[in-house]
Amino acid sequence: MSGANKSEKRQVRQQEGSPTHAASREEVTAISTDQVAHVARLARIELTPDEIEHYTGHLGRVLEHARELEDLDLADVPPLAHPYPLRNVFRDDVPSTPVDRDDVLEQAPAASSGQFEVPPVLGEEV
Amino acid sequence: MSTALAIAADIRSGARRAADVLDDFLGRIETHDGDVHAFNTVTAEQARAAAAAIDALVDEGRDPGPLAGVPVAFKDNLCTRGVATTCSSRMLEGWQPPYDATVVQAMTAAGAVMIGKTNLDEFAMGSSTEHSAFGPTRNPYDLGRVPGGSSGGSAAAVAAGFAPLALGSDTGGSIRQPASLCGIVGIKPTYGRVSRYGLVAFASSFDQIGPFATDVADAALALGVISGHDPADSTSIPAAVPDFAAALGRGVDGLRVGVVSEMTGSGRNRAANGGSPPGDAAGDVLDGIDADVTERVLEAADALADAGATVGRVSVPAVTYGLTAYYLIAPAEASSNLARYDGTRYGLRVDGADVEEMNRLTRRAGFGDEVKARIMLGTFALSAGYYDAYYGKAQRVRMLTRRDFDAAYADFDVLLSPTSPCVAFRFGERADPMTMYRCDTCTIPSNLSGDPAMSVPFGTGADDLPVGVQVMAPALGEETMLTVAAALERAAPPLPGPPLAGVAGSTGART
Amino acid sequence: MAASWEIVVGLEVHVELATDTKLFSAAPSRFGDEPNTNVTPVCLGLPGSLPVLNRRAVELAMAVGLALNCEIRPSVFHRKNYFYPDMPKDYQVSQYDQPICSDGWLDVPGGSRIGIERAHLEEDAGKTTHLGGADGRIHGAVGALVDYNRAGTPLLEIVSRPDIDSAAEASAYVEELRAILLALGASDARLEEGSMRVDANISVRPAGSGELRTRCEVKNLNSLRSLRNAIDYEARRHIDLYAAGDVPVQETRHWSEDGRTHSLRSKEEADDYRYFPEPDLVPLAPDDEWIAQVRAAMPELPASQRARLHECGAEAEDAQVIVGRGLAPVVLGAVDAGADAKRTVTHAVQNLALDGAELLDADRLASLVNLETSGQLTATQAKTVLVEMCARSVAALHAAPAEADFPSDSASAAARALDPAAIAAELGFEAMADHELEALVDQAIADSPEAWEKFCAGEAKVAGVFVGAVMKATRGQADGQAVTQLLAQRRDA
Repeated sequence: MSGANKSEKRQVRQQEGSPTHAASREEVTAISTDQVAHVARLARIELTPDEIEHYTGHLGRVLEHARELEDLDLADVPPLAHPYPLRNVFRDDVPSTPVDRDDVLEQAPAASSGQFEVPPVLGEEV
Repeated sequence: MSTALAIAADIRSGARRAADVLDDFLGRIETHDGDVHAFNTVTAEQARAAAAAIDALVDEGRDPGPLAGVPVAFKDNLCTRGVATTCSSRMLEGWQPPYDATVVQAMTAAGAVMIGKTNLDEFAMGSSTEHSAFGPTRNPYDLGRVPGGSSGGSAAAVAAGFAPLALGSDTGGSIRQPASLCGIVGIKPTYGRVSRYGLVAFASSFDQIGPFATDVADAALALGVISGHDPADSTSIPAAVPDFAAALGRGVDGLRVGVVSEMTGSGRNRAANGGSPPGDAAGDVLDGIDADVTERVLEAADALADAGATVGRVSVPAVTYGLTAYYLIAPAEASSNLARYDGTRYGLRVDGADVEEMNRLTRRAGFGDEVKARIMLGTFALSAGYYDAYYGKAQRVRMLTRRDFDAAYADFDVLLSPTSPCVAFRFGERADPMTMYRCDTCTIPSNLSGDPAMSVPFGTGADDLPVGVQVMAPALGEETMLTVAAALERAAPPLPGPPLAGVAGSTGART
Repeated sequence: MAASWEIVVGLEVHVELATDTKLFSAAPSRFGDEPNTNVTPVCLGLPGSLPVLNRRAVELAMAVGLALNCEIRPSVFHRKNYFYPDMPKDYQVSQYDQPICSDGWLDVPGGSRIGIERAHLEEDAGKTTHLGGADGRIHGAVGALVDYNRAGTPLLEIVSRPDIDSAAEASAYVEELRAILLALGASDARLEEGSMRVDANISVRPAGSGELRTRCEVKNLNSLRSLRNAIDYEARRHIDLYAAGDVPVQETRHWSEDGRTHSLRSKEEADDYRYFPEPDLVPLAPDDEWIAQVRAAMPELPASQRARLHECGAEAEDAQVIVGRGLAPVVLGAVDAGADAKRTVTHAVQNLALDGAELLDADRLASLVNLETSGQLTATQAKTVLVEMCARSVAALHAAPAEADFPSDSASAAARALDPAAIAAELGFEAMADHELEALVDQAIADSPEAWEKFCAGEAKVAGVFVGAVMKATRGQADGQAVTQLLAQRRDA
């Protein structure tokens, strides 16, 4: 019963100290302002330098907490992506009625000629 | 305030008119929602038309269904055709989906009348509804306190008597925790029991829709209506829907109830009904669970023992890592799910010189602080060089949690724990992200495993505020979970209603 | 510095699968319609929408995999995260480290065996049209329009190993792959229209060294000619770089019609796609029974078709042409139904470079060839009827049943409309009665007595005078062979 399913190998990590203590540690290691700036670019979120500082603190506190996983030996534990083990879910190849284009374009920030309109696309170009 | 079952019975029998029932609830909303702010949108006009249609069916001698004329509030992340679905975000302000969520269709088909769309933490990310772009919802028990979150609007709406039923979504506790803080019943079904089609995704492998109600019977009724296989959701389980109502009266005699040691560490160190003590893991308990809450859980366990259940303590060691795993996986999925809000197809756009700038400025303006933080956290957890250490490791912890629960359910039919580590807290009290995230410490493990769990009111804690007990069960074990919840409800001390005029006690001994 | 270099090429071929609906949505998978009319909430990435996998797309992918001698394995869909306006969810659902097909090969006709690393399913993006820039180019554009009709179309990406050693072999590989796809009905595989897209990973190495040097990925190869030219150009560029003591940079390059490849500028973060398992889809694990069913339903593959055509007397080149046009089933079917093999092959090679040819029914083609070999139709008439059969097959395919071109809407009328004998009758190609032809031949002899004398004196080539006259009189519908025979009869009488 109780304790029977306790994994012998699993290590117990002490709870963190005060938030101040955690904060001072995270500044050194958990995530840097450069990394936050990089992640913001990947996620396409415009941030000011002050905001980058702010999110470095926020993300740092969470990632500092995540360090508790470092102590876990999980080599023999496979990852779990889906909570319920379903396989082979399909749909037949039968068309349904498409949505009404006007209904959809009415909700678009900008549209013309039956299409969604966006500012110029830079990026990959010869 | 009548229950959904009583209202539907009255309307089906012709004793009451759906239009009159609706007016009563709209009147309460009119009077009190200025204070509570449960709703983003009240759909009074549509509701009147729907109620009239129900009354017409009754007049024709036809049965409008098990929820005939019952007003229902939908969390504002459930798509409603032609009705704004905002996720309480500037990003989707005014967006009108061209389709109904499967659960919305199911409720409507059962005769329910949509009364409005309820407030939430933006994109369901939060535990207090303070992170709504449209202002917080207030707890009907104390307007100076949060209703919990993220489905705070739905919980407050039911607690305040604005609707007998509401639907919410639960990704890390977003149904159960606000149900606990608002003194009502909330169910997170088995992942896959209820279709997610039309639920605006936060973290797809956790999100699950479920009901709020003032008592277990109403919650079971609504659960039955929204459950079932949906071919539009690949993760929907093709299982028959049991008669949940039949489970309510079965009694707990002979059922094995395990009190989770890691979640009740602050309570009396004792074994109820002959179970063994926590044993080898004295320090291995979840942090920050208030003693008053734990006391109610242990009393609830005693009550079940009195009712004939076999009660013991059980260790589910992996739950101590649940919070960490969840706050890596859920943001990772969210970072991808929320990428589509780029200003191109719907919702907000802030113009830029090129598409990329338009994307960046739109997402800067459209997302609130917490959403931005989680998107960036998730992006980081998935990014090159960090995937294995963060996302990958968290997925393994998820498997560990699954295994530990499986082991626990080998010995117990249901597990018992607090729902929330604390009673409703004051606005701004949990501003630090980790402090806020700890609100979900007892609810997250069931989201990691995908198993069903629910919160049932069981007395009060500090400041006479409601405490909820969490009943957890193995996958597709909703019937046993409801049997135990109904027994707890029968044994619970009476709960004073919220101090809004005209709201009766939400639950408690009814016999 | 090595004296000689060899070319090392691996090809990534994307093909649009010939399904009726998209990979994860029930929207019609169809092209040429008004923009944004073939879309559902799933295609547009609307909040709350969820994907459900198209069984047919999976079966086509499995069939292609089996045809390429791949293993069919359990697979998982992942999300590939990057922002682009024509990607409705700003991630692409694709199979990443667990593709459905892996480790196969393809034998290039008359060439070597090319390894297949993998073939995986993924969804296509929509289409972005740049506004205001010269020729729809990105540079100088003032905006862009996005059409999501194509978004979500099922793609199978077939990745070869770097086993290809020449432009010609690359071209032959693509041709053979295309023939396989056509035979399976898995795709219409048109390079020019983009339903088949080829990217080439190109590098060079000192001959015989076996090493793999820095490669460049060349895109925008819209024809086999572009593919061949790009490989030759890029290989030469690498060789020149090495000769100059320089090295190529691993990058993506764009083939342009000026006959050169150009570097594509790429963003610094473009590589971090943050793949993770798609939580909205469950794993795909075809069992042996299903795989066997798909295998059993597979039609004959091109290599076997070519061998049988060869048995029918087709030269290797003709067999390749027939297979390349997707006509092998109808040709072999007609021969099996008793049609003369040589005539059937000749028609297929000479007269069937036509739309609708692949729609021909083998039995009807056999009937046509029989009409010709039995003398009821001349070769010219047979060709005319054949062209008409193809045209009507196309019309029958495209016309809704109610508004078909047929005189009647009954099935038997439709069948009659495609029947070669009926078409011949409609066109007035009644086989000429012997006495009519004899009269015409006699008239021709009477009209040219001098030529007749020469013919009787043994000048065989003068026969042309009489054949020409008869053809003129019959507007080309007479059977030239029959005329020649009659002339001989008259002479020898």
